[in-house]
Amino acid sequence: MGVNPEANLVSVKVLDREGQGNSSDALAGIQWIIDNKERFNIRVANLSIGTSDAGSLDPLVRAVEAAWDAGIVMVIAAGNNGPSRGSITSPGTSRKVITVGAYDDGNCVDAFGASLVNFSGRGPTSECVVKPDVLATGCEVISCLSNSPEMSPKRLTMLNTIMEHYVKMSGTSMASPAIAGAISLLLTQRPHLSPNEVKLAIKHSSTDLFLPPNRQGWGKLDINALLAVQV
Amino acid sequence: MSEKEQVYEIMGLMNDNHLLRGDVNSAAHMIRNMLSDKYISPIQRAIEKENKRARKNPCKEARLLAALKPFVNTGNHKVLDDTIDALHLMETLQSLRSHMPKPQPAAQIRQQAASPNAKDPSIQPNGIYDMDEKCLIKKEQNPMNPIFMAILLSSFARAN
Repeated sequence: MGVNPEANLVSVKVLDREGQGNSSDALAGIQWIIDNKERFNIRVANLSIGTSDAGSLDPLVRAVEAAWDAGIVMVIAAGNNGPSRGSITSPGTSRKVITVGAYDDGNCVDAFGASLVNFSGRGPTSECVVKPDVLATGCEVISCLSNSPEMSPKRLTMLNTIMEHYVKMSGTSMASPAIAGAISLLLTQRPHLSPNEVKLAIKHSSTDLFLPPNRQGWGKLDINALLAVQV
Repeated sequence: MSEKEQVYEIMGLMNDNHLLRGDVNSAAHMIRNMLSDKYISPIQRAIEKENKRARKNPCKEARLLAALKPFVNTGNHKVLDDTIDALHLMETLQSLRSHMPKPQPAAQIRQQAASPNAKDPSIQPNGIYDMDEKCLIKKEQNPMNPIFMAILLSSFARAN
């Protein structure tokens, strides 16, 4: 299942059984991706993590930009602190990376056991960068449930499991992997594209939803248009 | 405990807000300390560091004024000292501002977008992104965060 079922996945664990973690572990994870990009042919990375906006000097922002400069397309969740202005989480605040919001956040009724409406983070960042860059579906997305023994019973009871092996979840953490999957499809077709060219392709294949720029970025991604766009 | 005693206990708690006031004060104190440690102390430390550096390496105007002191009436020494302190404050401010990332001026962005050679206004020298012009204009009008300025000035007031 998923946007690109043929993609090979490399999973880098930086959070604990409660889904919490330290910046240092996230930084180590990003460094590992950079160090192993040739070995595993890592072309795109999804980061469904976020912390408060501390500007471009934030180590997490610098780390994802280093990965971008190393040729890895970094796709980052916008965060779920919306709808307040300036609620994009770091490292989604990085001007270089592709920051993903949810276009359907007005429809969700359940995210980790809590009701959330209009949760998708809004820009601009503290440095006046328009964010998010693009939107994808983030409401009640069904995906595979981890069978890791590490997952805490408390967390399991909060999840909306379906048929034992699947789970339904909402949030920009669910929207960003869809964009990462679309990018992996694009790079399968055109592996020579640089991260900046990929981001430009995303811009030119997004559908304007006529929402404010700091709500929608360039709009909702049209995957068919992405695979056909010329950059 | 009997029902009657429970009712008396509840009534006692409701009437006696001394404990509640104490708890609220403790909570407020904890929040104040947390905010101070997390946000204000790092800013104060940065200001003190730059202030020390400015005093250790004073600008030539401050050095000139300090050199004039032996030749000036002692009654006017305070004026000289206050002027030297003001120069140190300006040095500290300039130094702190130089460390802050500078947003691209709004006017420059408008010019880039209007340029006939601009292929795509999102194409910037350091990536592909758009800037929020209103946000930039607001920042240009108010370059330094007012909270930051307040902490800076109060640090100087305390030091003097």
